[in-house]
Amino acid sequence: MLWLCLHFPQLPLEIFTRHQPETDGKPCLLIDKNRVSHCNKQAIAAGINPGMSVNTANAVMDNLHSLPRSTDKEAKALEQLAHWAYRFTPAVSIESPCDLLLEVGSVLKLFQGLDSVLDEVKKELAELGYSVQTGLAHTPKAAWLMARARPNDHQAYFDDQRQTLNKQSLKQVLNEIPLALLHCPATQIEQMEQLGLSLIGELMDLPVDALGKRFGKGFLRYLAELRGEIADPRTFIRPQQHFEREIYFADAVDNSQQLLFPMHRMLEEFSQFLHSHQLECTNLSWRLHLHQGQQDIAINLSQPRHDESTFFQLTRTSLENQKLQGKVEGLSLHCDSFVRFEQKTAQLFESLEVSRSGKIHSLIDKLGTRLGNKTITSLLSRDEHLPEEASEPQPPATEQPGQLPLNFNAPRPAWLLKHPVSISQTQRGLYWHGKMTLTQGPERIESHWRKKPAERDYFVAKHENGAMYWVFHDRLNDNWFAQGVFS
Amino acid sequence: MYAELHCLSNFSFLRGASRPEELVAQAAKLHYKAIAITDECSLAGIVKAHVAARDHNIKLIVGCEFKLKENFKFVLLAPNRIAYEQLCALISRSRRRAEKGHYLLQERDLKNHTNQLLAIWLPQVDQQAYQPPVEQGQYLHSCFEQRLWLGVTQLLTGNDHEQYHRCHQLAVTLDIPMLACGNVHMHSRQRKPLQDVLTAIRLNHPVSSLGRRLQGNSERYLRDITELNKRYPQALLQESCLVAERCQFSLEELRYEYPKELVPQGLSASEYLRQLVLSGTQKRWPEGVSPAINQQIEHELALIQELAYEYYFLTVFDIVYFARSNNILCQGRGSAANSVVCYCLFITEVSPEHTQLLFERFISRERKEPPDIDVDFEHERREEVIQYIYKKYGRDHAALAATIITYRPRSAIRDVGKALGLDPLFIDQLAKSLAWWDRMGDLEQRFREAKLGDTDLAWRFMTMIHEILGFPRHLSQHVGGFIITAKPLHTLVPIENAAMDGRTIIQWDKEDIASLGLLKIDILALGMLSAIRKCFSLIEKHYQTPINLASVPQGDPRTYAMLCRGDSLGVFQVESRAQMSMLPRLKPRSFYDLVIEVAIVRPGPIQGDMVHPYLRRRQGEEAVSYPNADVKAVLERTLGVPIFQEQVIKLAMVAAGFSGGEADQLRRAMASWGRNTSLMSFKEKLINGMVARGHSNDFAERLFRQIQGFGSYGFPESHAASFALLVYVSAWLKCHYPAAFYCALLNSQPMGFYSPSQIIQDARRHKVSVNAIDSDISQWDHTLEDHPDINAEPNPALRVGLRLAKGFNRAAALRLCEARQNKPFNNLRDLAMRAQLNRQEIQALVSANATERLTRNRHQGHWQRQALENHKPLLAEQEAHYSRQLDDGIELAAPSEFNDMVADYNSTGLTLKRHPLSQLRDSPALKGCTLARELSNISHGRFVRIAGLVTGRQRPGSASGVIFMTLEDDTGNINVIVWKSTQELYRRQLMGGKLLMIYGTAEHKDGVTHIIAGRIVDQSQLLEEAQLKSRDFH
Repeated sequence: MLWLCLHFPQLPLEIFTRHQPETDGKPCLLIDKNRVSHCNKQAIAAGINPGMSVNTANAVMDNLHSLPRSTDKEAKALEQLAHWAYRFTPAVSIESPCDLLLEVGSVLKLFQGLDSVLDEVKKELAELGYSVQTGLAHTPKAAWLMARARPNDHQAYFDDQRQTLNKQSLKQVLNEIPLALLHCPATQIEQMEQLGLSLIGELMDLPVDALGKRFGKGFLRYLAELRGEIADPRTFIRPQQHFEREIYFADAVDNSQQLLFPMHRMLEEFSQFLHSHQLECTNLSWRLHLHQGQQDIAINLSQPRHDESTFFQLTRTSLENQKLQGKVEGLSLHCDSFVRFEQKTAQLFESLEVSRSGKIHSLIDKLGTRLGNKTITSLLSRDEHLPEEASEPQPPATEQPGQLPLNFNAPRPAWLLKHPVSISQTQRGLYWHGKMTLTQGPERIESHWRKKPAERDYFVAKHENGAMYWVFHDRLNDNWFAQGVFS
Repeated sequence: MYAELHCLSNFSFLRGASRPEELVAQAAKLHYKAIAITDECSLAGIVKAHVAARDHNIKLIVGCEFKLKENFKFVLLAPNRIAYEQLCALISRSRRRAEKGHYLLQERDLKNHTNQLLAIWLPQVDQQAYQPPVEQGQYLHSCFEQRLWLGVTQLLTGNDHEQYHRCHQLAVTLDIPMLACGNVHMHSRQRKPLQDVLTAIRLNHPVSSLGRRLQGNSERYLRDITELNKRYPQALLQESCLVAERCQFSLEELRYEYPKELVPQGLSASEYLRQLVLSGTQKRWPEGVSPAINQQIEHELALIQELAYEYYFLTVFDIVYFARSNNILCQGRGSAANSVVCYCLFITEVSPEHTQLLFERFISRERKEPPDIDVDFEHERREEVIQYIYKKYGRDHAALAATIITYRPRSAIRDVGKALGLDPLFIDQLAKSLAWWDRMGDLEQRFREAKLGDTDLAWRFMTMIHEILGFPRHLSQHVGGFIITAKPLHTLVPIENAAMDGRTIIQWDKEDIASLGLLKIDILALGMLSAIRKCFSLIEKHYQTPINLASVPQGDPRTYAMLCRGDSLGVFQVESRAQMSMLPRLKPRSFYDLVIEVAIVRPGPIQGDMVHPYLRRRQGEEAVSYPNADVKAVLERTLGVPIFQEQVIKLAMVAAGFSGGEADQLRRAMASWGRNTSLMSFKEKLINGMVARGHSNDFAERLFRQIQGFGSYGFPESHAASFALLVYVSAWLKCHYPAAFYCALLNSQPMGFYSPSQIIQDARRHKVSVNAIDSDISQWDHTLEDHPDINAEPNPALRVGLRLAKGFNRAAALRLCEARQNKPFNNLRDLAMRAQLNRQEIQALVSANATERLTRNRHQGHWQRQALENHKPLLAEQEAHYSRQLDDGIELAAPSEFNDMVADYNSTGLTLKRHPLSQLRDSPALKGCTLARELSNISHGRFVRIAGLVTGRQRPGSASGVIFMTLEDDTGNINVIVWKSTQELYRRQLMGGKLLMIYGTAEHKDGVTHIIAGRIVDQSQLLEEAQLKSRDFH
């Protein structure tokens, strides 16, 4: 067994800063509970250190670029890195918060030696924008330790020619590592330091039972696993699920109708896959392999589905809206983002709400496929005083479309003009394509927090043609506007 | 015609957006008939409104808004004194049953003891799903009968007509008259943005996310009569005036009555006071009283009788008498020290022979202000005094005054910044440095740098902060201001819960109490009194010499010589770095010099640039002269330079032509400087007045700056005199009984400027021998140990107490001391078992190396201790083996000297081993550094290199951005001055360095040496290297 530990010391910071030229070269730091948890080398050069309080960091330097720490994002990034590492070995284990442990003994031959594995790893990680420290040892725990104590440095105990570890020199190296680096609670480390111990070797010299008495069985097991005396079973990641089917036609097809049949068959297969894995999906993509080049068709759903009929219906509509850009030689269906299927208990009488929202969703999907997703918006109501801020267009919701707040004391029109329209004030009253008479009001609405403050008196006005309008008097400029129409 | 009967001030915290004074002034300006301030279940703002109403000549009605439950609100008004008492009682009751800052009103509260109150029901009629709240109306009707109105409020919310209609329906159904009231939250509609910010702070969300939780418009303001006529029917406006008419109560009616139980039967208060004073004179002057003093006593007693203040003096006397008979040291401070009567009652200690008494400063016929006696008690025993007061007068008759916690620049920046949705880190930066304060351009620059390009936001931020400054946030407990009354307190002022369990506070602060002419007593805590009392006890025990404040010999030359050297660490008031460097310049030789010493290192004289003129004149470098005899009379005792607050006031009269009344106003304005700008209005008058009378413009300007400086830390002469007495006593103790002095000082920690480590180093430099902490000998407190040979020097020695062991506690120490009395401990387990120590307590002892006899060294101690925790022996008899068992056959090497020293610091905050600098002296980096001890021999302006641990870092507000640092080496402390330009270059070293090496120049002035920093090198890594290196040795 040969374990390679990939330690990402700056992962919490790098998930924010990688591939971001604006933070390049600038001091940048991460804040966790009012302390600096990580910072880049520019910040260190400016005198900032991890562990410093935010106040001190501020005092050391003005205009710091700081970000709040996000352990959720870190976990996700580490998981992605684990799947990336899967290409090197099937035995990839995640050690939160910022390490990966790879069993590489079995793949050294495949990669023609350790150095080429390491070179590849480093090259690719550099492209991804992550810095890494590597450690190599016969146990996962030792590799973890080496990645910290002797990062990227294993010549002393790894024989490149014979592709093996020199256990004796490895042990020696381990013994010289400060015990402060051990993977155990800070209080335990402190207890050891209170004994005047500083190196792992000094600790190992003490009788095991005396250590157990003081630091507990858990610690003894840790030491044994570290030394390889007992096994350290690990959980490996499972490869990511994805669905990929590809067929090629013997004779190229130039009529989209002819594509429908194979597509249907592939979707059936897809649907079965979803069933058997208890999954649903919200998007899938088709790729038409053309004589020259390719043509992609993306299918998006407003709600996770798993039934082939929906997929097929949307596929057909999409296809009808597109022109084939050449002869199709092959076809592939791809999907890699799934959500877990939640079995809904069927009710005897499906509630009206559910069935209606189901209908709205399929309507939105159909319209969207036909007209393009950007053409459909739903209105989200917002709890604001100013009418133009009280609602906001947004993409057709995957959730239920927002409901207008009902609790207004004063009248609100159902139809709001896109922008308030100026109306004239004559000696005989208000005039806008005809005379208007105020019938109700005023309702005074003010807002002091926009670029342009607003102070308005709203009225309901009756037009001479009988229509009812919502008009307001702008108190700051003494102008009148129409803003809405009552149905 | 209109009277506003529903109006909230900013004392309805984070609801109202105007000060009570602003509301009252605006109502007067709009010619309202009257205005009621009806804060929510609170009268905290009413006195301020009362004072403003008096000034603006408008009728003020006292009332409160209450919420019984959701959507059930009403206002209660007090038409007469009885109603006022009922209101106070109602507020107190609802406040007392809720946690601090909240109240809980119950329906039954309205049934009883409310028969004089007027009520205005505020039915909620603006909801969409409206259900007529008829039961509410019926309930109020049953409580208030014909004293109930229905308040109609029209705020242009779009359905005003409908709301009016609903009110009308309710009024008709329930037969309640309607009146107009405004639900006012601000005096002017311009306050709306601030009101939004307050809402945001209250709801803890940025303004931008509040949406309709903000008020939709700014109609909750004091509208003018024309506007009101548009919004309400005449009859409703009329009705408001009728109700106002019925309210005839004014806070003027409140009269203070003293508890009478203090006077023995058959005597009048006056006779009893005279009796006490006479017996006091016999104790103060056993050889007889001089005619001058006698005359003064008669003068004071006459004035006290005339103004009927006898009970006040008797009350204070009673409290002080309790303290004295329980051996609690106390001393009056402040202007009371101007009174011989106070001296004879043992309230104050400064003998009238020492200073010029200004009894009129204390009590005056003209100033309609009650006297103010502040008494300091030992800080550790003040609670006993407070409990005595509660017990003697009962909680119904004694309470602490409130302190109104208001928005200061930093809290304003934090809260407004949050409300505007600014980044927390950015807010933090702004709050940290106020360099941009008052300079809009700088603030805009900061907003741009933070990529908040929108300068509107900066402008708005600034406006809001300036508006919110001084706004009250909550009531808190005053440090010790007590009010004691004959009638139950809650008939005078509402009482609410304080944060501390079992404490209550009244809803008024000191200023309110003074405005109403009520009396209060400050029961303050002073650490130095604890230290002095402890020192007295130690002297009695170890030197068999009884001693008290009065028996300390006066005018001791050795004590003054010590102070002249600046050797004042631990001495009251003059131990700060600034004072330490002033002492050798001022060279105090008499008690009055100490009075000046205490008063001169203060913002007043410093900002007025009066320090150097005084020193020059004192040293004879400048002639002492006076422009005229009047000025001479004021300034003669301070060589023609104004030092004390009262001199400045007097000067305003004799040199700028202020009348007595104006001078008094000036004094008040001075006290409130920083909270309002009234002081600035005197500037022109003062300067013109002085210039017109032939004084230089420069002197006048400086005098005004001095007045401003006094503002925040006013220091009258009498106060300085009281403090000077403690300066002298503590200096005398340090000079003659150093061991007892340091021991007492250490046992009174935390107090003063210095850490135990610094105190103990100073003790050793004063030849006090100090013995290490030891579980076999040490008590909880530090103790003195007499040498068996009484002639041995130095004697006695100081034994470090267990209180310094971090993580240890007093109860454990007591168990330990008791357990070891029978026989010494055999081993660590024996100790732990017999003293019943838990894990943490044992660890604290081992870490502090207090168990060295049992465990040989720290490493072995921890090795044994760790084994202890998890393994308990089965049989107690096996004790003999325990010790070996604890070792497990392992003998760990002892820590190096350096690491042992570091562990000392970490576990007790100090070391008795060699100082780190002495251990590091040989390292190449520090070779050749000048020692602290040697600095006085380096000639002025010479270049030096020094090194030391950073023990102090300050940037005083008065010293234009200079940082003063104190470095400590093995021979003493080094004062370092870092100018602003140097700071910029060495920010990191200054902020983070623990061990600094500084290249600079030495400066001597009047026996004080400073190093002006040139280059600063952070050598902290030496400390770490030394710890690592010493490990490699074994």
